Amino acid sequence: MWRVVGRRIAVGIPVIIGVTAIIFFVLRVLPGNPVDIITQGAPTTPAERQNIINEFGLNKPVLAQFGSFVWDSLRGNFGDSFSTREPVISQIAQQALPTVELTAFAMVLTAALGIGLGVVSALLHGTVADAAIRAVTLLGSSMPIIVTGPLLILLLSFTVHVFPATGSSSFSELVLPALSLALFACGVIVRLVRGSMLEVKNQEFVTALRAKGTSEARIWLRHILRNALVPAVTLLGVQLGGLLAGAVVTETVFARQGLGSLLVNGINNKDYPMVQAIVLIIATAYIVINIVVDICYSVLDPRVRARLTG
Amino acid sequence: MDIGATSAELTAGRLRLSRSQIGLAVAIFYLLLLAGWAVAPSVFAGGDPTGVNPLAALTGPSAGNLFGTDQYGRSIYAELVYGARPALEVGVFSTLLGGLAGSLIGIVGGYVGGWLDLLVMRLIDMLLALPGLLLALIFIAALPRTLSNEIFAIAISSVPAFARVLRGQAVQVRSRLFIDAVTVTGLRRRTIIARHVLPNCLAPAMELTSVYVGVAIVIAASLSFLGLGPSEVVPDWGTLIQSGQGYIDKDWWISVFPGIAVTLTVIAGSIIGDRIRDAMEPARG
Repeated sequence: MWRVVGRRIAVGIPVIIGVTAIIFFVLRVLPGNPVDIITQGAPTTPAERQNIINEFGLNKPVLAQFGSFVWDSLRGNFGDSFSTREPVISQIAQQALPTVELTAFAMVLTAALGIGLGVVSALLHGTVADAAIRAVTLLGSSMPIIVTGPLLILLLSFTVHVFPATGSSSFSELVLPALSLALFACGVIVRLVRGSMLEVKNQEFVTALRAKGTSEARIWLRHILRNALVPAVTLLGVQLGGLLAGAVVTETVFARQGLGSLLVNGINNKDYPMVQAIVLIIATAYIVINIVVDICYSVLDPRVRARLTG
Repeated sequence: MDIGATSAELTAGRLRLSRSQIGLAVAIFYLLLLAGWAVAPSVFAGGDPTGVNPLAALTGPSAGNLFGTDQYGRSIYAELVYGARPALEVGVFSTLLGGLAGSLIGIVGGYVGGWLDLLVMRLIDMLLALPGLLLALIFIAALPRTLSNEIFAIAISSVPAFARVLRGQAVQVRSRLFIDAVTVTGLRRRTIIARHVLPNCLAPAMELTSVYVGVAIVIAASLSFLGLGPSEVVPDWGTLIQSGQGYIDKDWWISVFPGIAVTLTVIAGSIIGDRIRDAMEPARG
């Protein structure tokens, strides 16, 4: 167990450092003078420009800037915003909660819809219900959030008045955005759960269980479903990346507060410290959660546990 | 197919085949239609997509205006037709560019192995840690908003997926007997990669390409929706969806029809991708 954890973390750390380097250098090497961005084109004296250069550490060589960026980020300091000149982390901290809520709730919905519909689809294999579930999930995973969002608003806010269309203050306002994310993400999980349940169903150990008189419900729940869940959990971890990126778009569609609007504003204002901090935090969250998923995976599946520790 | 399959199962298989052929035909027809729109928009649009006409603003779908009009009285249908070219340009060029780069990185890494492969794998890991849209966003943030920069940004975001799949395929091809055979004949490594490894990696590359064109079009539409799209593209599907959102309660057609256009493009791409995989599978096994 602890060896698995250690090994996954040892692989994860260089990846996070590499991602940091990619983000930092893309934003730093590409054209544009930071001083002009910070002053927003207002006329400045050379002395003022020199002050800004000193304040943001722009006089140091790029590699040294990168080094201090990594070092400061580790201690939670992601630099000062180019537009407000305040530490970006304080603004991020204010806006992080709505995004975390949205992503977490979307993840729960994705898991519930994905596994639930997948199981129903496998149990009703070959029926109209199975075909309908497959058609709807294919449609859901082909439909981008900028399309699903307005459609859900049209159907569930304006046609049938169930959920509010926009906002980010109450739980009911969380439902539609999370649902549009989940509809997009659950398709592959439905297909995977359905496929692996149907595959496991025909394996010899199931015949053996039947022969030994195990009840049908126990076979499906304890043996077939459990085997099908293992790959589904991994896929959920992978889908999280899509959910986090999708949250940026979803927040805009539903006019919600959160990191999405902060990121879009940051890009529009060329506020690179803000952009690199948000992207880095999202990427790190994604990597860390996938490490956790990998560890869960090894707990769920004794075969993987044996391979990783052996 | 399993030898023990009953005749009923065989018939069902055949029926499914013909149904999937209908799907394929529809997908190809739709993509040809889009290509027609992109090549000769003036032939299909039957009007100017930028002609403002306040008297005809916000009219619903009708015989005169198939998909209705927007808040400025422009025909949604004409805007869709003219928006097909930038959408396809981004979809096709960014996928070709990113797919080519990613495939080369993956194949060379997977075939050559050793430290090069290790380097390729770590690079893929890092890029995959940034979900597609975010990876594109970093470049969008740093570059001026032009169509070619958007194509470049989306191309980069497709590199890791191609590199990972093609690396896997190259590793698998390398272990096959005929590669040993051509290696002992003394062919140069470059020649082996070009003549023997590459052709055996074409099927997954083509499958991924057909899926990624749709993905790239979705990323481009999402960027426009966020207001981060190229400024010079005027009738733009994503911008259209975004501008219709404020009118979704009554004048739903502004957002819904461009949304359908984007979704159908994604579905058509994945149907064709599935067919490519099915067609290539027997050869692989």
